[in-house]
Amino acid sequence: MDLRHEHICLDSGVDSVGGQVANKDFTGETLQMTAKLLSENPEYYTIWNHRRRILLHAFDEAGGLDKDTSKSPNESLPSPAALDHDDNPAAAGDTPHKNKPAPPPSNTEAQKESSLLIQEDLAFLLPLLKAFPKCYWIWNHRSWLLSQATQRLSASMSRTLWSNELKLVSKLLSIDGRNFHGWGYRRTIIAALESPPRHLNTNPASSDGGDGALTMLESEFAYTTQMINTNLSNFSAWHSRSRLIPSLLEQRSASRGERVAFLEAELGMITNGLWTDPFDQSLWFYYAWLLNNVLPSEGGSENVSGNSDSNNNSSSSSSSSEQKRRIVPDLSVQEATDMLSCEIGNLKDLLDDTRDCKYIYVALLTYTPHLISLRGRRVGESRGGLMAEGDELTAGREERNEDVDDKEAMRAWLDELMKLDPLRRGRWIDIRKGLDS
Amino acid sequence: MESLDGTNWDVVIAGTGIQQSLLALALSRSGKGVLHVDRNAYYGGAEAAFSLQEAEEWVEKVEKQGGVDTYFSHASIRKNLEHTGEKAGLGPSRAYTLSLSPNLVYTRSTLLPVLVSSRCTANEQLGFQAVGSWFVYSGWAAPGDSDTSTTHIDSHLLRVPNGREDVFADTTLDLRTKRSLMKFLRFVGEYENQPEIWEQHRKKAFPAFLLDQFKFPTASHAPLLALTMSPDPPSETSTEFALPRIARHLRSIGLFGAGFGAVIPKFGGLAEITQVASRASAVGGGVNVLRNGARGVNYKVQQTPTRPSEGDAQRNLSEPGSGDAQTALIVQLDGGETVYADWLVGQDADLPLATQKYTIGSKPRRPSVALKSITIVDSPLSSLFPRTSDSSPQPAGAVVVFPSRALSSDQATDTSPETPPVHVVVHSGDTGECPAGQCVLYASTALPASSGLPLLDSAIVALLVGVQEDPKPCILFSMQYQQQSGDTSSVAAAAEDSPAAARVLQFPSPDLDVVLSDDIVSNVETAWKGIMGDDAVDFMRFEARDGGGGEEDEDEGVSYGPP
Repeated sequence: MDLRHEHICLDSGVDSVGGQVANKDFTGETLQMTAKLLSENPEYYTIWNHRRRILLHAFDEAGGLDKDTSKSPNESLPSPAALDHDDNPAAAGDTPHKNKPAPPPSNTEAQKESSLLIQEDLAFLLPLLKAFPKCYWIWNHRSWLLSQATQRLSASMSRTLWSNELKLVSKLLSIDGRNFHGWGYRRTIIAALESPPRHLNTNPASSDGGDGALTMLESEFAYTTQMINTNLSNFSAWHSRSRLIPSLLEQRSASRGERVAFLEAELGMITNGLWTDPFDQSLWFYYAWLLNNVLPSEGGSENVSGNSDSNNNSSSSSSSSEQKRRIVPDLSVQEATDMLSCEIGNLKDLLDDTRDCKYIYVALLTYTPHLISLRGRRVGESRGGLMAEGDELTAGREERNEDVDDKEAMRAWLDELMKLDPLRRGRWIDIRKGLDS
Repeated sequence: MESLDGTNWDVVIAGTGIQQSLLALALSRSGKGVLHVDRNAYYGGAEAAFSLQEAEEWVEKVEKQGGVDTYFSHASIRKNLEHTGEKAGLGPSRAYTLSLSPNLVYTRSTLLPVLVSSRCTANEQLGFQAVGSWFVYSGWAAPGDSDTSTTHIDSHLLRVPNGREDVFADTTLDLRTKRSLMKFLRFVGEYENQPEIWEQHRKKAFPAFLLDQFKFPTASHAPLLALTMSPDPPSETSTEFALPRIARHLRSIGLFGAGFGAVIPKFGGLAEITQVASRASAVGGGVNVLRNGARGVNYKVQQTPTRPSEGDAQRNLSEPGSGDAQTALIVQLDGGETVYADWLVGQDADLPLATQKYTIGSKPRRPSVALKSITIVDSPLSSLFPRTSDSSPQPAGAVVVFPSRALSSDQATDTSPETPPVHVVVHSGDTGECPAGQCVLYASTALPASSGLPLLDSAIVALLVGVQEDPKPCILFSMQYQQQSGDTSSVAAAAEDSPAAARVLQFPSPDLDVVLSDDIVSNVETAWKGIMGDDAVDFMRFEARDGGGGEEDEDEGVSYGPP
């Protein structure tokens, strides 16, 4: 079949599907036509929309949701507006869990029928997913199918499906560990498996998600460790790790000492990585996130996390939720200074050994000013905010010498960066201006 | 069967070693009349593989020959007759296939593509299995109570990092060493493009190069030296030797699958390849005769007796200006027959009385002598065969390197003699060479029997301690022999300048390198080109024999994985 002929066949297929859907002709034949079209071109999201309309119709035919609820059928489906808009693919995973009627606990005929439809579609998707692992619309449709399962099937049926999804995504990630679709989907699965809503919990009596929620965080954290050990350059694995850590620490009810130890252990691990391969950018991203847990958050006052002193009510309510996400929410200025100073010393050591890696210079340039400012704050803090004149002269001078040395070093690093990364001259010149002013 | 006496051949190949067998394979589609003889009762020559019974017979024969016309000497066998304990003892003779040629084949080698393109790997005739991990022995030996015993203390086997993630995970290296190691690995991956770093140091000893150019501490040299598989002690391993070897190791990883860079042929090393190649030759019309070697060869320019008519057009008289004169070699066989050939090819041990020959591949060989041992133990030694990642195949081979001086009992001082390293290639039962639950350990060191034997014994004992298994694995059977790589024949032969002038082509004697050299293939190609002359096209590129083979077989590569 030559290309032009094939093109015409596909076009007419598209037209006929469009026509059939418009006529509410949701037959199996139309469904098959969408399958054919999507196998050729899974990026054609309009056809995915059509397919979903056909499936929804099929769900309704099978018996739809439990009519015992007082909600009207339409409320539990994605809004019609989303479906009619051919430019917008149906949002996946958007269907909020709240406001949905709980399906009955037993497997009714309707559920069995719907379950079959869903599983058939999942099976249809599988070879497509393997062939096109980075196609948004395939992942999208899969999420939609799973969310339909959550709504329509019994808790145990949908839990089985979600568990299978976890196995599938692990398999796909073992083939390509850096596919961020896979990682995002994995987070969706974990959220679903952990989620407290009754309809996923096989034990209706338990209200807090039960033991399932507890084990997932630890195992997911271990999973990121495993993926990193397989390939250090896995941006998605590092990112996932950063997302899991705050909840993990909370779940462990980690004491302050444990939290500090955890932070130090993560810094140790990333240092191991940076020394092994400082040219790997993904390591620097994670390193930056870790150091953000050390540095004061924006608008901070007396201590690093922005918590106010007793008399100072400058802490804003928004920072309190950020504090909760920090590894050590109440890190003192002294602790932060020590940690940052140690890190900068380590980076300088690394620089001695590897002079041609621009990321090291950039990191030093980024964090040295913070160290300078932290040192200033520490002195201010230890003086209780008041300084005697004599003190000011001597203390100030020490600081200034240290700061002067650091600024000198920064100029030298900028010189190196001019050579290593001449395309960003403008940026290095800007930073230099900031130094000299 | 008709007598061979008076028959005419285009090529007589003497010996069924790997080079001769590959040549027979190369000629198998050429239409040339090939007679392939071997004085032994088995295929493989110096690369053969034996059952226990056959191994014993071979050892007896070697001792009787007393080093004449053979590369082997000082052979002996020790069996552990008092084996007790829960594990199974030595199985029946045929349960074992012990190889004289347990060479490692890197995925980046010329042998594998040639085996594929010549269809040897089609229809699962040949299987290859992954060599997964390299280990370096660490520990020290204290002199024991008696003169002959030593106690091995703190013995363990350290896995050699294969790349960045291994370096990251390694807990024995400090950060600076990791950095230096990574810098070196990065460099060696592309060393050809950075001559300024190493060219001037090419003759320098490799350890000195590592220290000077990469600030790599001596204490951490062992893993890199292990990857070179150098038969010499560190101070005699040059930079120009080491760099290509390490580069090849690293570039081979992942080529045919995740987590491994070298393979071993299943069922007994190169011997299996010689069998497949000889079979292919027979299918192509060649005649294989065992128990009959080439005893002597004479050269005469004469009117040869009637030749088969179909041979005329294909005969290859590359001697210029030969006109009607027909040169023939008159070859005497061990059985007394006389055959006529245009070409005679073999190794020097197969051509004992040849007086004129063209020598293929004349580089000096190192090492020139080695002591080798084959040991069967009653444990699967699972710790040596970890799967390197989820997607990598279960390895069937592992390498354990004993650095120079690692087995010496006065290791503390640097004044003890710098012995050569010991290389042990471990084969699991998955290779089919021994029953499941047992392993075959192939050890070698570049020393003659007198000094080599205690070293090899010590290495095997230390290895069995180093795997830290309880109960300690027992030795069921042990065989050792000395092998030399030089010529054995006592007849001084005149060296000819070209194949055509000599008509007798001599392959080099077997290499003692644990790693299979690409020279094997290039030597075969040289011989093939000499014989084929102007018809030399498509070396080892064959179509499938049956019509149905076609395109699918084109991509059919080597089959890997668990048995």
